[in-house]
Amino acid sequence: MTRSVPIAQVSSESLRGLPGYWIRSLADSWLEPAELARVVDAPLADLHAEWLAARAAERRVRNRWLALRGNAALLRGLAWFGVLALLASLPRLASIGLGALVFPLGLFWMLALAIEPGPIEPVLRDATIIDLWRKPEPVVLPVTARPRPPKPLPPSDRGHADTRGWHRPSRRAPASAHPQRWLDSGSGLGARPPADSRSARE
Amino acid sequence: VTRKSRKVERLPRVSPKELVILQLLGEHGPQYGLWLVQNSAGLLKRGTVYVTLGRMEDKGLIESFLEKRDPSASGLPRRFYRLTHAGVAVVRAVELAQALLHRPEMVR
Repeated sequence: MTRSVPIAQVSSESLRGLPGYWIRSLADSWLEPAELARVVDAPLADLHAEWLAARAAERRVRNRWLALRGNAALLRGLAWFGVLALLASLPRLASIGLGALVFPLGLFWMLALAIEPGPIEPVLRDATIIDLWRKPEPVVLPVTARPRPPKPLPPSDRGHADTRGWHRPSRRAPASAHPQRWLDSGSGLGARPPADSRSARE
Repeated sequence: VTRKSRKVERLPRVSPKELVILQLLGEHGPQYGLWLVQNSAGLLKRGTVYVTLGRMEDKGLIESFLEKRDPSASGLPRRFYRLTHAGVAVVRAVELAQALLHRPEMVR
């Protein structure tokens, strides 16, 4: 808050030709009268007093040096004032920025809550969720039991009956090779079996 | 006990430059900015002393007035600064605090 200060009622035109005239004219356009009186007019008044005293003493070099130095100090003071004003307004700027950030986010959140869909059916939910990273499981087809072919019967050594009812020996071994048949054939004990049956047994 | 009665009054913050200005004005009476710069032994600068004076004016430690001069005189009138009652109190408080810090036997 800037307190009210006494302001010199001096027109800008009356300062023409004095040092700091252009700076004061520029600052007059963007500073309030109280700030102008405090930040610009106060140092300018001291500069004018010094400068006029040097001019009265006809010290030209000092006159120019005072004008140069006074203008530099005036600009430095204005820059310092601007920095302090910016620092003083930082909390207000921060609050504005925070409000500008929080308000749209809050509005978005409220809208999102308002249009949030209710719970959906599990079937639809599973159908809509596509897990791209899940490895697909192999498809297992149902296996039906097929009828197995009948097992072939082992060849019989007993032979088989032919169409006339006569007993026919097996093709795999001659009848003399079977020990029982050899006994039944009446060869008698002690007789040597035929050579073909011995070789078949071996 | 109300909340207001429990509220502690904050002491005014005074920077070293402000303290120099307060002490100079307290010793020599009303002065203008350039005089303060020239008599501060280099502690105050031309470019920043007027901003500091304005801040102290906002705090209520000093007040300013324009010099009375002939209206036909060229240039701007000088702005003089003097201590307010609050400024005088701050100067005395600081002087007392410095004395107590340097002479602890004064503290009972």
